[in-house]
Amino acid sequence: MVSASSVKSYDRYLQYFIFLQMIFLSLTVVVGVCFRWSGHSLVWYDEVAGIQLAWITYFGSAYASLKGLHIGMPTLIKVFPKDIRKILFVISKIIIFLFFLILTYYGTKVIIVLRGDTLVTLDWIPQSFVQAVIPASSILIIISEFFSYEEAYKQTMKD
Amino acid sequence: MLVLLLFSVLLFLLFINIPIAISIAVATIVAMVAKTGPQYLVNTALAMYNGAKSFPLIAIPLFILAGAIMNSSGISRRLIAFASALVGFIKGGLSMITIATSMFFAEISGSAVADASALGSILIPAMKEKGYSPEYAASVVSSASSLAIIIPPSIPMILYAVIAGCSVEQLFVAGFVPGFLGGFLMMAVSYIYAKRKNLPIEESFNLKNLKRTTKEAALAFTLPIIILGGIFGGFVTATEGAGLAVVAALVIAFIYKEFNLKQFFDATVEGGSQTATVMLLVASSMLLGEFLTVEQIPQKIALSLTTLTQNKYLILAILNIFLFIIGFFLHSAAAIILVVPVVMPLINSLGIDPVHFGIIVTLNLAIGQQTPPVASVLAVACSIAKTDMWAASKVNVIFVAVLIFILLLSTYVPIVPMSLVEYFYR
Repeated sequence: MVSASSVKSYDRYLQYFIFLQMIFLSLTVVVGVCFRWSGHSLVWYDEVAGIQLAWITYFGSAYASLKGLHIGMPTLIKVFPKDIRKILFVISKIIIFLFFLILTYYGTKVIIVLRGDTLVTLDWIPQSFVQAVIPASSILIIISEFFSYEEAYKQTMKD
Repeated sequence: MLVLLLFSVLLFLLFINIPIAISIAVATIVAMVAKTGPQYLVNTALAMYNGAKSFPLIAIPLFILAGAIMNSSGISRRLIAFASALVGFIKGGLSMITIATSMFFAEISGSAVADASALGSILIPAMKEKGYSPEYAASVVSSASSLAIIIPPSIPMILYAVIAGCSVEQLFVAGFVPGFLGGFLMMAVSYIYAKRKNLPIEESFNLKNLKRTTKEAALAFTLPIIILGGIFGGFVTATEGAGLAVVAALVIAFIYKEFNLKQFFDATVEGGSQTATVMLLVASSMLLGEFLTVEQIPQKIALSLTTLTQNKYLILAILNIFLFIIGFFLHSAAAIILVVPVVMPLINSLGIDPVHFGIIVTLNLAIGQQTPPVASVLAVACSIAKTDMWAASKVNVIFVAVLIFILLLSTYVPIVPMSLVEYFYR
């Protein structure tokens, strides 16, 4: 079993990371507006802000998985008796794990293919670095799902 | 056949409580792999990445962040005090204050759930203390909070505009009249309710008090001017306006000296995770979108419906009923992502203005936020009021009726939402 303190630390690190990402995204947009108004638009602004949004999406998804915040339809499964719910719960977790394993594997393949490519506007940032968000966050989501399965199970079995 | 496979898998996954975003992605992958083979899987990782980096959608986390700062900085308290001085003397004063504050909040925040949580935590306990039933307190907070997605800025509007390929700014402008009309009608309904239930006034009208609270909240009033004035005046795009909203809210928060850093940190993280849940849906809808395009499903639906009737008002009635029904079961972001790409070819072929249809969709989503079992905003208000969602729904019918009236008015009298759009943009 995983200790409560490691889950807590994991939770905390994810929170710090999301917080910083949100602040950096705001700064990027504000700096972008200021430069545009001054007549010296930043060429990298759109591309970098888009990447930051993708990072918030996937690292935020890892946090949302840990807290069970993803949008679902939790009432539907309650129509089944508890024995069947147990089986369906296991199937649902296997499907989620498989999906993110596929994303990890093919996300890594994409990184390998993109080796040597850089961003269009900032040629010192490798594409493989920014796109690493898919395999990296997929692994984190799998970890989050693993850490939160007990609570998810309780919710599924609750009437 | 592939369509049947996709929707059967999707339904099964939703039934076993797999998050909607993952269900959409997995169902699409199954259908596409069945069609093209496992080589399709490489595309999955690329599409999921590209789907999450749409520039106009950056406005979503920024508006959420601006709302989070506002809620952590004493702005809410000042606005409530101002609304109390302005409308607290009317029978059922606290419900009037709730609706008036929500209308103001709506001009800064674009998320109804955030508003329900921020206002509800202050106003619901106050209402309960004054003898309002918890069901009514939850209903008035919940319905008034849904004005946040009708009055600009609005997160569902941003999402719709990106998916439908129409102007966010025009959609924002179109939300003004239906939003404020809805707010004033809710006030009228709550007045009648308060008269019947003999609910108390909050405070007697006092011009001195109104002046004082106006002065205290004056800085907060500049927020909508900066955000909406900037966007409508063409100085900034919706995304840049959202960035400015963050800065303006921060500046005001520091001036008010009530900034709670811990609350801000928590609200920002919550905003980040809210963004993530919506954006993961957007990313997975990229996969679904590719499938729909390949199979030409939207075009086929458009063709079969237009062979039945060419009457756009009848089609809008059908779509309204459809959107109303799915509002019972789907979260607003999921509803937009699943429905809008499918019906847009139909809307375009009938010559319906996508901005007009965007308002119709938004109003349906606002109603959907109030109708259980999936009623995101009502659920938040009920958890604060510690009451059952179904019991609150019985009371909430009066406010849902207002929203339905605004929906029908906006659908069949297009000038209601479109008058300001025509004036400013056409």
